Amino acid sequence: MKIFTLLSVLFPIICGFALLIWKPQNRKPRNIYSMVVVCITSVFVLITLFQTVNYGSESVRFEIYHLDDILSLALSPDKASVVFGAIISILWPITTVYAFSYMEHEGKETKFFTFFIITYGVVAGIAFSANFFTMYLFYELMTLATLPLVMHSMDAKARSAGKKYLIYSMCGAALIFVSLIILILYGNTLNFTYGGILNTEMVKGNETFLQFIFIIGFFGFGVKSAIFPLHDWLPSASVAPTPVTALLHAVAVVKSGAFAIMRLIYFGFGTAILYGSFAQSVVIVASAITIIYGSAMALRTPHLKRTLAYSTVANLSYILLAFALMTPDGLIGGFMHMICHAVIKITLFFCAGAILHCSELENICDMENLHKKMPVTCAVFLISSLSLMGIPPLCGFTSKWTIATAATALGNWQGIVGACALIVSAVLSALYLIPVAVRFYFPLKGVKELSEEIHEADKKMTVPMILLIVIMLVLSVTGHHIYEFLSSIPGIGGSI
Amino acid sequence: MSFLLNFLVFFPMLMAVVIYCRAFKSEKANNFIIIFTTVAELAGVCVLYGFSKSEVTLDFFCSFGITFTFGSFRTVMATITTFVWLAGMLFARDWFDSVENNKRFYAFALLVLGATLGVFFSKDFMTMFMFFEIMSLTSYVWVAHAEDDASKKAAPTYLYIGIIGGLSMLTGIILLYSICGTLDFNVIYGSAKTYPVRIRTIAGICMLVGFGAKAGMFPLHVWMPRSYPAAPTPGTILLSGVLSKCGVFGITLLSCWLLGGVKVWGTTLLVLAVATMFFGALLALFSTDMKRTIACSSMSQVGFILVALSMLVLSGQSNLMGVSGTILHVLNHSLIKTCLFIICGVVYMINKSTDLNEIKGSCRNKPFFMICFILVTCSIAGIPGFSGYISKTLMHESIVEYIEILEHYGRPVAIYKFSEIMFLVSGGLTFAYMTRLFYILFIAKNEKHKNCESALNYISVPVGIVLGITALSMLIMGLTPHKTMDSIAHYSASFFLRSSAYDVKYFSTANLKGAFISICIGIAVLLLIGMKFLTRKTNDGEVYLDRWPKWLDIEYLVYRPLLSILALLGATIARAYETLSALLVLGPVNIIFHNAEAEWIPHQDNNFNVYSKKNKISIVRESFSYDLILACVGIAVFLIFILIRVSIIF
Repeated sequence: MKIFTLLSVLFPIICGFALLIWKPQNRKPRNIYSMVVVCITSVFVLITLFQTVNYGSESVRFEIYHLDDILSLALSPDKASVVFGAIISILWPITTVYAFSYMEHEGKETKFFTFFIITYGVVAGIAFSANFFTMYLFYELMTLATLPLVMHSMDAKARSAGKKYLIYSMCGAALIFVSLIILILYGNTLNFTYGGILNTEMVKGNETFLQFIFIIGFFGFGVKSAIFPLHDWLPSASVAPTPVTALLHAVAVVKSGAFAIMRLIYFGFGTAILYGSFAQSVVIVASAITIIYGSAMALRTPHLKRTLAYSTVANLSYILLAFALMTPDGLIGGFMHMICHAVIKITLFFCAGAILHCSELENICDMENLHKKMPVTCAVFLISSLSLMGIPPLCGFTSKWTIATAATALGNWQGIVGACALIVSAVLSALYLIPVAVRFYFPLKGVKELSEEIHEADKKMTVPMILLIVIMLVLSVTGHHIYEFLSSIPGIGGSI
Repeated sequence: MSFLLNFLVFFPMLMAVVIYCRAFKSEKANNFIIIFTTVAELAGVCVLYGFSKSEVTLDFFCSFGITFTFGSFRTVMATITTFVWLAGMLFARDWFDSVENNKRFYAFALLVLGATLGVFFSKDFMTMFMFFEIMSLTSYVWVAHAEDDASKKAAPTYLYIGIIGGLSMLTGIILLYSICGTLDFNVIYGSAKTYPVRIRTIAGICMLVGFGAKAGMFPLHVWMPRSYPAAPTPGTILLSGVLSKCGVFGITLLSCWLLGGVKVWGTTLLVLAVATMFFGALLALFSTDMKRTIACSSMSQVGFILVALSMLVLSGQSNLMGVSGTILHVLNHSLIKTCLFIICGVVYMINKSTDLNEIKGSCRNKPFFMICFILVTCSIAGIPGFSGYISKTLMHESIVEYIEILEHYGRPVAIYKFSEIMFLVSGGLTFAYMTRLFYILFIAKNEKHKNCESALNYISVPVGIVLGITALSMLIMGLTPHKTMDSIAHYSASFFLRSSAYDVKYFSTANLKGAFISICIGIAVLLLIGMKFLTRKTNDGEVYLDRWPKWLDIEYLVYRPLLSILALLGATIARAYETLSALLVLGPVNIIFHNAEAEWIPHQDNNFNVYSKKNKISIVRESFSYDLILACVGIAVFLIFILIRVSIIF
């Protein structure tokens, strides 16, 4: 049933526009509509993924438009898409439930849900695309579809953040475009092929040039995954409503960037011409710098949501670092951290949002003794921050361990730099997360009465959080199943 | 067998959840659960003695799987752990008013119990690291439990040193994994010699930071004199009696299994151990707070154990007395500290303070306490006839033996001679501060406590029994060393990968001479420093002075300034980065739009216009969002067109 592949992309986009035309005045029909659409889309995505796993990539390939042999719009999920698709298809409905309650106090819900649903389809398109052309198309659509979400509140801060986001994304798009053109010129095809699509005869003699182009492409896609020095939009974008920061700026948008970089390294340029070259050193060092930079900034930031945003900057570069190792273990580690970080960071953002929503507190130093009033939120925050710090046996540890061992297995100075960055960042992440969680339980300024208005978040917010914690614990326990699945991605099993 | 091991580790954790969630409403039930759990654990550990060595793997856990094993030193440590826990939990009933108000403490105490047993039973570094981290983080709650000024000051230090130690340990483990490809203790031991010594040593030192921090090794001891007094006394019993031994256990493992015979490692350990031993004792002597004295004494005693361990490393396979010395002193110290902290806790409950000036003379009419305290003091000071004498003699002999070997081969022995002297001096200091404490508690006169009644109601019966038995065991073990202590040492020795066959005449003149020298130094110190320098006689009796210079505090002198300098440096660099990146991207944009008269217009909520030349009232047609929607509609139309065209849809 190839139609499901198309439907998982097209259905939410169409339904999103329908919501904009319909403009429901009441909350209830709109919420029901959004929930139904998101759930149906998730079902479509999951069916597609199920088929991909069981019957292979060809069984779900859907060619939308065939221009010529190189340029065609086609969707063809493979096992790498399964990982990304599974993340979004599970997290999207959960976030939708959370958004119902949260958006009540932000307002303009019709607009919000319109673009929220459209973005789902676009991100699914990125996950499922069969070639660079399709991915590039959806990638740019994503910028446009998420812009209104960033600027949702339309105050000065939000508009400035939106402007920043747009400018940075456009810079990235320009860089990506350059590298795509070169790929077309030197490649046989644009379809994703493990091991690279470059024509070996044309490559001869031009290795340095192509490696340079790869660096350009890396930083172009790196804008979305906030690689230094193109990260600045992400912390600014934390002014967006929490469901957006949680799902888009911790999972969908930024992971799309990392996913695209994975495609670029393993399915585009191929590890053969990149492994051991100066280009690899450049991207590893850039990731390592971003890791330390993000963690250090998170430590110095008093605003909880911005702290988490900087932490996202650091954690995304864990993934980029893992992919940049260009070994099968690195690829597995990157995917592991993609999964784990998605679940952990969305939970942390939900907690920050719940606190913001229920107590109007934004700065970490004010959040003293909150566990008296918001026990569930505080407990969830504690568990997920322990997980992000990488305390075994929670799932953050598994992924960090995989990346660190893959980095040291590289056996050269780049690997050591990467591993050191990971360890330093682990210390820093403990230093910026633990004080928050400790404040919830052991007030530092002394016990003072919390204001009466602070209350626990309602069920629509706490249930998603608890659900995510359950997913996190399941991930922790089933770490080796995921590892085995990732090892079965075509090409990983063998050598480079 | 696998069930029992899993039960021992996970049952208390389960019960912790039960307590924390208030599954049982009545306080009696909760009380019962706490005591029942610890007794069940103790019984379970005792059953382990009846089984031969085996191992358990739970490979679904955390993608690596965890492996447990038991036998020899592990089982002995587990026995000590559960026994001290029982004592601690019994004492906690006296200390806290009720379970209900302090369920947090009880729940976390049980959680740490499971984690600690996990550390002792672990068969590979991953399992060990996992439980070590859990233990380290959960025990933080004890230190922070009181939520008063002292604990607010102590708790962050405890937490951060624990976290940094843990991550340093992880670094070591990753390094080890990268050269060995496995983390199983047996496999690593089997092939350790084939890996480069340099990397092994670096990995070992990284892990030493983690273990040493928990053991209270110099210079990572800073949390110890602060956290022990800050924690509620039942927590301190566990921290000192068991948790510091987790660190020692880890260092033992590194020394015997990974780095046996590595000279650099042995020397590093020896230097740190001597420093820990001496400075701990010195701090204890200068302290003006009973709980702090005992805390610093813990540090010093850990130093003694580490000295014996480093001798073990340096002398390779030959040093057999060091093995027994280490094992027995670990055992002794746990029991001694349990007694001392129980006494300290009771003193606090009587006086609501542990300041020496407040508590002086408060135990004058408590003969039971006096006897217990004398037994314990004699043991820790190494008086012949008590258990401490046996372990200290063994440790001392191990240094002497090594010096003799070196002299035989004509190698330099200055550093080891020095260590031996420090060993005796520290022993003397131990004698001095314990005797001083005894004098203050039981002999010094205080008007306040003149009319105290000497009834036995200051201590509850179960705690009294535990205290009495533990204190008495010091004497019994000390008088029958060959029957009791040697057999424990023999049983545990296989963990150290050495046999412990030796023949020591504990009560020979040569050995008694060591103790005699130590005691003489102790008396001299007591008379010169303890009685003169640290005490002032006034009309109201004696006043005990705090002569330790305030500025001499490694945490505030070195660590905190260092950390803030690092943080400042990091922040400066990060800000520089940020400016650079903004310049890179936004700089050109600002240049291009330099002359543009654009302005940002806030507008009606329904529209999301971004950019406009003029401030208009209705902007829907000309807004950016409108263009955006048009673009999207175009794409949608395009897609629908293709849908219709392409025939392979259905």
